[in-house]
Amino acid sequence: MTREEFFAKLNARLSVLNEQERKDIIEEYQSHIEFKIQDGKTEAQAISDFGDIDALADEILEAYHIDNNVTKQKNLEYYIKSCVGFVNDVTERILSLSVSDIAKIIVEFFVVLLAIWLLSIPVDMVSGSIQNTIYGFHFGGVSNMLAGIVNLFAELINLAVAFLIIYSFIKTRVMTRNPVMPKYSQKNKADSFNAGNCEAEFSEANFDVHTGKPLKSKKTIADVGKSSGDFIVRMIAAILKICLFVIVWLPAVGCTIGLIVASVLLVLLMVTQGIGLWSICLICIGCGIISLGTAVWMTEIIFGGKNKNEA
Amino acid sequence: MNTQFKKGVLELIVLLVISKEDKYGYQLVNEVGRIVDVNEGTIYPLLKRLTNDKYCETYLEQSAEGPARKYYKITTAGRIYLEVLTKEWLEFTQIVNNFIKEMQKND
Repeated sequence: MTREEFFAKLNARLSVLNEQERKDIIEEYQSHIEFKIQDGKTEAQAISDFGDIDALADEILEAYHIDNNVTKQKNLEYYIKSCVGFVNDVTERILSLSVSDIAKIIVEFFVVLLAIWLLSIPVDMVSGSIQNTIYGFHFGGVSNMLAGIVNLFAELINLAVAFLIIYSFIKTRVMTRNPVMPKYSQKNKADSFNAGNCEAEFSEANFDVHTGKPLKSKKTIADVGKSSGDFIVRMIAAILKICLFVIVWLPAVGCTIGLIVASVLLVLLMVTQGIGLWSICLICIGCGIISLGTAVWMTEIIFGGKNKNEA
Repeated sequence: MNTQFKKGVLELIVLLVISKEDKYGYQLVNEVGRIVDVNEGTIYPLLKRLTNDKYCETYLEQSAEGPARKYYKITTAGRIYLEVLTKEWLEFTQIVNNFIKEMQKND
């Protein structure tokens, strides 16, 4: 088996794990193979030393205390919760950094900004020459509009590059200092893991991932072991949450979408008026932070209690 | 040796190894492999669990040759846990040993 085959298989068998966890474990195996090759073994030997891949995958899943309830319910609530968790983790991580770390990150951030600026130069040059060509045709108002569109595209490319660079910067410099465990994929430590059921439940989970359905009917299988009273309480809590969600969250989302549509229109208007995209961008980021903050706050109010119930 | 025996004691051995010195994964696998003959693939999930349970923590260190090394470092919680595990193991083996002697004497 080649390395690619091995990791493709392992990746498929571990599809119930969340992406970060899967990446962590696969990176470990990758470096293990590389160390082995350094010690003079062949790739095939290094891989065969891991033994049966299914047994290995089961072993990994067992170590993770796979919570079939949580991993199967990758619904809206799960995603919202992981977003909130991510924001909280980033904040915690930033707060836990030492002064020298922060100074280092600020310096690096300026380097990143410089890189973004350097990368924007060729894009601006290309867009500038295209705009000049357009003006050369003397179409009057039409060429003004075309030039505006070209300019907009160039700015959008710059923005996308800037966003990607800043995102990867945050991800590598802030997050990897101490990889944060997403709290929602982990089963409560006190829960015992039933190794015998691993195979069956894993294939169920796999099926669910592939069909993308919420697996409502199979959820009852997982609930069999629990008392029915617990189940009813959970149902009521879920219904209450859905009501709260409809009353509070949907209007908030609606407002946000309205805001985005309004800002897009505003941006188009401003571009035709010749105002710099960066200043518009700052306004948008401001609006975004405010609406995201509201959304996170709302989510905390609605879903915040659940963690305590489950723990 | 019986696989279940190995599994039970693996956690104790891994914690013992990193309690002396921070180790990176491959090093740890080799060191543990000297004591118990175990599939090297199974040590990483165990390390992951110990990390998730906060008994150890990890940090990355670049090396001149080869891939970056992910070191495992035992935490205070890990040391306490190791102490408990060691005590339990010694007590348990003593009881079992005594029982074996007792039964052999009766033969």
